[in-house]
Amino acid sequence: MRFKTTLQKEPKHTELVSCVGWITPDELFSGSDDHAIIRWNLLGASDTKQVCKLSEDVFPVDMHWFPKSPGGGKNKGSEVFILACTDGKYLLISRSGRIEKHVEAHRGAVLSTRWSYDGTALATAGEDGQVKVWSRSGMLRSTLSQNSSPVYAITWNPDSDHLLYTNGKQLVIKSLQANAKPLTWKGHEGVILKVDWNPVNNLILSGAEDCKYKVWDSYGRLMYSSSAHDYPITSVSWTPDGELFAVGSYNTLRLCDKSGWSHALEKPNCGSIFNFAWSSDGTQVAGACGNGQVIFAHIIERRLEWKNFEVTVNESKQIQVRNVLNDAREKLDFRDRIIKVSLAFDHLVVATSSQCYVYSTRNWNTPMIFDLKEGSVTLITQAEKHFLLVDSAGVYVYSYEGRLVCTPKFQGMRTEILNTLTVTISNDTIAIRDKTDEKVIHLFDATTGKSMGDGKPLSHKLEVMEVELDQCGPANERRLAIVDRNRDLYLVSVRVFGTQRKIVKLGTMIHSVAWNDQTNMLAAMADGKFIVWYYPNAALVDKDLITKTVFEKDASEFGKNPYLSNFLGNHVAIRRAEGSIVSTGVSPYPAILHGYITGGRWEDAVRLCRFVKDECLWSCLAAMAAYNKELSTAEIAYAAINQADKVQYILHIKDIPSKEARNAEMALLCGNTQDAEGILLQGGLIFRGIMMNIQLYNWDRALELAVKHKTHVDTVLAYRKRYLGQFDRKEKNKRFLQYSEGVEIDWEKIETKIEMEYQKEREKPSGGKR
Amino acid sequence: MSYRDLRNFTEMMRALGYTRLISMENFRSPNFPLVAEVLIWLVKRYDPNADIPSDTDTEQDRVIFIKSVAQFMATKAHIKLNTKKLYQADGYAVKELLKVTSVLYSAMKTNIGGEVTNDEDDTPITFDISSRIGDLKDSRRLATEITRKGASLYDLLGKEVDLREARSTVIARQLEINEVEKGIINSVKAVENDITKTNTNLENVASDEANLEAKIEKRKGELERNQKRLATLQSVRPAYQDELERYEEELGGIYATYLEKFRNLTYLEQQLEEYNKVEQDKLEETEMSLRKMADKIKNEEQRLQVQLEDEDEFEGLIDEDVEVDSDGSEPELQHAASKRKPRPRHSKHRNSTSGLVDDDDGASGDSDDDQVEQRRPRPSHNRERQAGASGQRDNNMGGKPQVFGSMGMGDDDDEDDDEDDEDSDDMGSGGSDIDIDDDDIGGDSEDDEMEMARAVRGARNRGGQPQQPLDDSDNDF
Repeated sequence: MRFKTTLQKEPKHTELVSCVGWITPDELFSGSDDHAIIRWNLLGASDTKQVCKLSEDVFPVDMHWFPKSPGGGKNKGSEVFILACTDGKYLLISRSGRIEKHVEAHRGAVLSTRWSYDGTALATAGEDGQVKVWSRSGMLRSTLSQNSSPVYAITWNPDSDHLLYTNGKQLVIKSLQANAKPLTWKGHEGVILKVDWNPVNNLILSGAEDCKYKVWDSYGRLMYSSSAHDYPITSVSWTPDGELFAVGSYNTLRLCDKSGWSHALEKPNCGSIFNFAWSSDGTQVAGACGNGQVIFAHIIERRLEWKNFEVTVNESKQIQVRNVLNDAREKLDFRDRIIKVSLAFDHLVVATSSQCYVYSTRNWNTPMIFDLKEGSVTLITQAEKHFLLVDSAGVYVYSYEGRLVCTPKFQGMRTEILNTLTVTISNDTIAIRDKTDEKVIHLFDATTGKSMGDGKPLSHKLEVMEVELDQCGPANERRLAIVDRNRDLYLVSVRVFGTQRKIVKLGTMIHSVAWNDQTNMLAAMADGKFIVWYYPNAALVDKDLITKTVFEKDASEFGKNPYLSNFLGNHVAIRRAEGSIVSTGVSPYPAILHGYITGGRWEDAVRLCRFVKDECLWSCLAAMAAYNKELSTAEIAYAAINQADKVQYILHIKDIPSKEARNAEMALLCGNTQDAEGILLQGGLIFRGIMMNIQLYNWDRALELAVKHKTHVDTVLAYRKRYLGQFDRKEKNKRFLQYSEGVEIDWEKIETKIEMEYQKEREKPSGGKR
Repeated sequence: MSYRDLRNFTEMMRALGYTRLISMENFRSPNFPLVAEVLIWLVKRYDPNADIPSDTDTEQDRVIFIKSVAQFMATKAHIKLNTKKLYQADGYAVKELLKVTSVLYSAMKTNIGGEVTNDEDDTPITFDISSRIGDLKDSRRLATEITRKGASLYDLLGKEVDLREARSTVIARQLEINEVEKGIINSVKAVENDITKTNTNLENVASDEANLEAKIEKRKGELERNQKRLATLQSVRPAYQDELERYEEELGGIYATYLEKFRNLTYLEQQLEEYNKVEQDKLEETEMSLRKMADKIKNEEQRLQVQLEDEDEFEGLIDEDVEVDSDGSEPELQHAASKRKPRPRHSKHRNSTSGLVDDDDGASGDSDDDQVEQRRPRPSHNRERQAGASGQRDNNMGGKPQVFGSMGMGDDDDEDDDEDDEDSDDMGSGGSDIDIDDDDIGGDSEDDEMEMARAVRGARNRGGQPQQPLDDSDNDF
């Protein structure tokens, strides 16, 4: 990936350009020390037009367009930008160039100004060291901070309730609440000139006179620090999707990945770049240059790979596809600028500024094409049968034939900050993390777009950082992997009917997770280890088995902070902190085993395990068999991993004549007492339900059932009494006291009754012969 | 002070290539050292040779420094600087510095602008080195030319010192108009004379031409006449010519006869000579045969005499031999053999044949036959000896006689024979002759070890040998 830069032959501005801002992906405004505001139209012959001329003593410093309101284009009248000036005023200027308002803001120059993301407020920072927050109409809301040195840059946090500003060599995050204590840390060795805070990945970027740029997280922890450049860093800017950022210095333009390493370095002859502005689609950046130029840089050579295909966006309107197997190359040309490209599940999805193209990897000639409502697609996520498209107006699910499947919606959805971590799609389910309450995950049916189940979103006990859906298996076995703020990994079943949603904790200190694309294996980077759960479902089946079905490897070979980029087949692609992609393999047997299980070929599965002789694989098989209630296979598998107790229990289950009872016992084996009880009661085996509760010492429930169904009350009481008698304790439970009054306990009678029950069960026609 | 000034100043200084990085905060508090450094640097940018006091330690020095800089800027660059503000060395000084830098910066920008348009032609930079080799040569040539011209220029300029004086004196001298006029008139006259002279010359040219043509004509006529005379002379035949030819023929015939007769004569002479030679040879031959006869007779007589003596001493000889055997000493044996064997006669005979062989290069059948005959007994004698030594040897040697018989005429054999002959000549004793012969043959077909072994055996057997040559010689005769 690199920049393709364009400079004008003749600078359009005669003096230093200080600020730039995009209004649409094709229209740019630039302000310069020659007092002119120029509009650049990049479509067609890139012509420029002077929009307005400022008075002689007014020099612009910074510019920021009013953010597009969600829903888009509703109020055209709000197309204004704020212009910070050296005379201490800021101006509100409309698109046509009319100065709508000028407000006296600071003593000395206004150095930086930003609208909040919701557009309700704007913040300014001045040479006098003050940080002020203003209302949309230009009324002073508060003076947030007063410092001794100029505040060179300011930026809002993603929720628009905190401000980040510079104070000399320090960075300060301060809440809009007046009495909140600011978070201050020393960021650089020199004066910090620019900061930026990305709303999508919540990372902070700073550039300073010590010639370094640094990446911080929102708590002020250093994520990356660059080596020193030749000149001070005069500008930094995130792309809207937070995947990349641009760094500007004297005659230097750098494109970096969000983890900090540099994609490309350009050395245009343009002087210092004082300001950057990314277009809303994130494909091009404009820079304000010290010598009067405005530099335009397009991102080209964006590269994707999936299995044997390699896709490169080698020009702004052209994609080159290479099949590595036979070195066949295809060139795909597009009418408009390419904005997003995604390649997975045998399909290439390309979003241009007006249309979306869907190619199959089998046929590169005839794509499915459909028009896009909004130009700037911010995210494409693919599943096997359909894909998810996110633009500023909403979230859409399209099939690969180009048909709109559905448009999931929820209250307070902010589409512009959705990213791959917070949105996930599988063939039947979509999960989106809420932004306003980060603990909440909205689940949608992918075919209808309706909220799953009772319409209530899934609520986790902590803020959710990452959601991932598994891709295979039937819809009602869908599992969602959640990484929360503590970096703990949880597995959640998506579809639940009646019973409570099950949440199982799989691991801690998780950096990143990825599901396999063909089987439901889950890979994760955790605490210096690379972990693969061959059968994560085992956590819901038999917790004892989960530790045995895990493959662990030391991840020190992947360096610090590796990131799992995908998990295709037996290969895991891992992106190291410095940007290189490393592949590692996992054993192919679990995948084969998964294949046998989905095909119901249990004998083959057993044979495979016998061949491989791996305890891990046996454990997987045991869990799978237990989950699928395949008793004989489970017996073999448990025997192979030396779980004699389980084998015994399975043998016991085999003896049970009634099917419901067997299922219930299997549920018990898996530790799901509630399920077991539910199954028993549904099957009319009330006596067994009562007995189960007695055996679990769940006396209250046993009594309740007995009383409710008016049977075996005496049995329950008898067992209770015997139990208490063993400990020489007196009955204290009021209910038991109450019922025991009128009941005579006669063990002989009870035993005959129990024998009768079993007899009855055996004779029952529904108790299928094994 | 203002943010914009600082920003623009830092940017301009960066663009101008100032070696240090200037921070936005550098001028927040008075920073005279930096201002001084920047000022010196800027002044040097204007005029690298400018002389500015660089001492800024004391207040007085600083004042002088600022003043001199301001003066310099005012005179050279027409920029008025506020010395007071500069001295403050804070944000206001930046404003003053900006005045200087902006001039330099705009100059650079226009420069770059020009370059940019130029650069566009050069953008496709060719790295074709071959085309540049020509340029390289040119530039080298130019460089040498420059140095050459420079040297000559230098020489000329060196002369200038002397020339200057002469020039100045000449220039300084007053010119008299009369003299000048006279000189000019003289020169005019001289020129006029020249002109008339050339004119007359031009006129004479025609007459000269005519003269020359007439001369050429005359010479041509002479040539023609002479050629005619030559022709007539060639055509006339002198009176005595016929006679001469006749005599010539006659002389030729006479010479031929003379030649024939001379040839015959010389032939006859040669015949005579040959005849004489034959006669002489015959004479010599008869003489030789006569002498031979005489020798034979003499020998016969001698032998008869010796035989008579031998018969007397025969018994004692055998005893002596036995004694020698037991002693094992060879030289004595040889001596004894040579002393009283018929050997001497034998060797003599061989001598004569060997002489023939030497002459005819071994082609004479006589000698060969002789040799073969001589040798024939030898293998048998070998065999006898070998049979006594070892069976294996016997086998090997069994083939040998055949080879000898068949290869009597072979070259190898001849050489062997020659060697043999020589050997026998040198040694002059039958025992040693046989020994050496044996060794040679062995060397041809067997390894050194065998040779060694045989040599040892030979040495062992020698004791018994002297008797066998005796038999040999007996058989022979």
